[in-house]
Amino acid sequence: MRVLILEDNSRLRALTAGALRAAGFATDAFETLADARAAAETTAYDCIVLDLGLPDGDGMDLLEALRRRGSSTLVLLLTARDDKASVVQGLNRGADDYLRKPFDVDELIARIRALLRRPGTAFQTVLAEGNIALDPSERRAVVDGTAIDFSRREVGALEMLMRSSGRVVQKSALEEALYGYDEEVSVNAIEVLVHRLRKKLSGAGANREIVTLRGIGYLLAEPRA
Amino acid sequence: MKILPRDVFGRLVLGLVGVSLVAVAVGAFYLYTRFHNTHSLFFEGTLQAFIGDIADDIHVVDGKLTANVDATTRQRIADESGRYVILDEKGSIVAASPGVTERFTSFRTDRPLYFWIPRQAEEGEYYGLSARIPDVPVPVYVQLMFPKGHIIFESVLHEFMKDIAWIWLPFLLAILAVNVIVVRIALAPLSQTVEEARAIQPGGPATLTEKGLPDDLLALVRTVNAAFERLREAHRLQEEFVADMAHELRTPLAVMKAELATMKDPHARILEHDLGAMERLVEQLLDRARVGRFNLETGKIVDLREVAREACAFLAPRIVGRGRMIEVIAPDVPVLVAGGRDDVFRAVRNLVENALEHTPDKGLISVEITGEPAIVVRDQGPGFPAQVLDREARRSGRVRSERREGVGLGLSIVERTMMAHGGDLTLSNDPGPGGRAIMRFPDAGWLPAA
Repeated sequence: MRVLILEDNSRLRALTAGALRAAGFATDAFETLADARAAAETTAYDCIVLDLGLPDGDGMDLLEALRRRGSSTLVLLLTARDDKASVVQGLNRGADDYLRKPFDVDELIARIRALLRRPGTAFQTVLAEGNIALDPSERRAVVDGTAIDFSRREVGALEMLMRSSGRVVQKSALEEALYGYDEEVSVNAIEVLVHRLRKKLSGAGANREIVTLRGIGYLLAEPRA
Repeated sequence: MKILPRDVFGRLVLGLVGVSLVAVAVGAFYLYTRFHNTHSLFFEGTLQAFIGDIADDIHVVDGKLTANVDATTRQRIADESGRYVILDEKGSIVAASPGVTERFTSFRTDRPLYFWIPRQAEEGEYYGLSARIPDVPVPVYVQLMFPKGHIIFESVLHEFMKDIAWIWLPFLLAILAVNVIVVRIALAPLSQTVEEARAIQPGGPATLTEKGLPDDLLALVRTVNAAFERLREAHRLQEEFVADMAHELRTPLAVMKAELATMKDPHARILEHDLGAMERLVEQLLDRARVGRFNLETGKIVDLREVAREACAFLAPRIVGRGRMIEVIAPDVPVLVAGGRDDVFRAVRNLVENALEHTPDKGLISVEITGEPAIVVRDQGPGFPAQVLDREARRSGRVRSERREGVGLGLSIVERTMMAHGGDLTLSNDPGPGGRAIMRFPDAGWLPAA
């Protein structure tokens, strides 16, 4: 998979590009908007990591040019700007995600992977978190090398949790995704479902657990000793 | 000047009282002099009339002078305590009132002479006229005098005091009362301005109303407003500088973070932790600058449950990653307040981050939304140090927190946000132990019955 990174700070650019390469991405790093634009016009990138403030212009211009051309290349914005307005503006103009500086390189890689796995993108493959692997198209889950028998809703819940890895999934979001509008949902249906899923995961020796955050939602996280 | 009252109102009233008193005194003096002059003319006329009456009774028959003053005239003169004497050419007395043995004053004057006899033993002052009688072949002089405190004058003055003069007192009091009322009305806009100025709080709007002020006050208020504007501008520039600086710090922080991530040295992990603290400080500086720009959107309607839940969901991965837990306790009905979503989010985030810093391993951070309406954040840490609990000390910015990095900054962000929302931040310690921070919003009355 080919990633373009546009960042004017040379050390940050080198470090990020190095980390992306180490994570298995073919990475091209550019310092100026002009270079990046030239590269993006000739090469089909799967994902572009875009810094907003650049010496020769605004990264937003490249984003707009891409979208005008009808390109659906995934774009992740890096911003030192903190106002929500500029983030919202970026997302409205066709960015797929954003990260605020200073960011974790690991988080950047995870976000890029999550973007590439999004339904509808060409890279919807097997989801993996720790030793859990899930193939959403076949609704098949493997934990620590062993196939586990999950119900349809359990797989659905696990998929949501894995897709939003590192983020909280609100209970209401699970409810909406797993139950139709006309279905009766008992008050504790989600609790029961998550409880079962959690038991099956830990029974199979998964190195990720579902953390229940009362009043907030659920989070797939590494268990702590 | 100790005599002068300290307020303008007092000074104006004092001045008006003085002016009233002077006006009354001048008026009274004028009336008195006018009255006196009139009286003198009247008195002189009386003297002349009496002398005329006496002259009618003086005859020269065969060169011999006779003066048989009519009894009625004599009686009238006696009634007024007057005295007269008639003198011939040599100054000898031809006729006189009873008891008069000598002339009153020099007599050889062809023109009428008014005279005045000062007070003597047992006698009062006298005022009189000495005149030569016309139309008589030999020179004859009549001298007539009355006591100065003439009865007519006395009685008229007495009547005047009785019937008219007392009116001065209520009149004077009425003028004073009207003056006081007028001054009070004229100064009313000033006290309104004072109230406005008193209500000015850091972080709130700082403009005095110019509408409806009289021109002279308006000049002062405009000047003050212009000064406020300059202060605000200076403040804004400073906040902007802080914000810019924080922005600029982000990129080098990102470089350091990326660099450290590639290192396997265990020291790198320690540095990463320190870097995290720095990151948080930069974040807080930005938050603080944003809150300090006075442009919080407090005009929208926000459900506190939603914002609190969002902020907690945002922080939850970090909290769980550090082996702590977080929960949100909220009622089933919306808790609505007027406020800015981002601002409330930022405030909750700061309180929860603060709680995270002080909650021990496996501890729980509890965020509760109550119908008060309020957001309560509790942690299981050691609690807030005493000087942070003191709101006045906190607001004055004198607190240098003993807790770990950035606590004072975080709390001041929350405090500012709450002030801008017309609410407040209350800190207390639970016996548990643990700190408890309450963001209390004004009740907008939109709360459905819980």
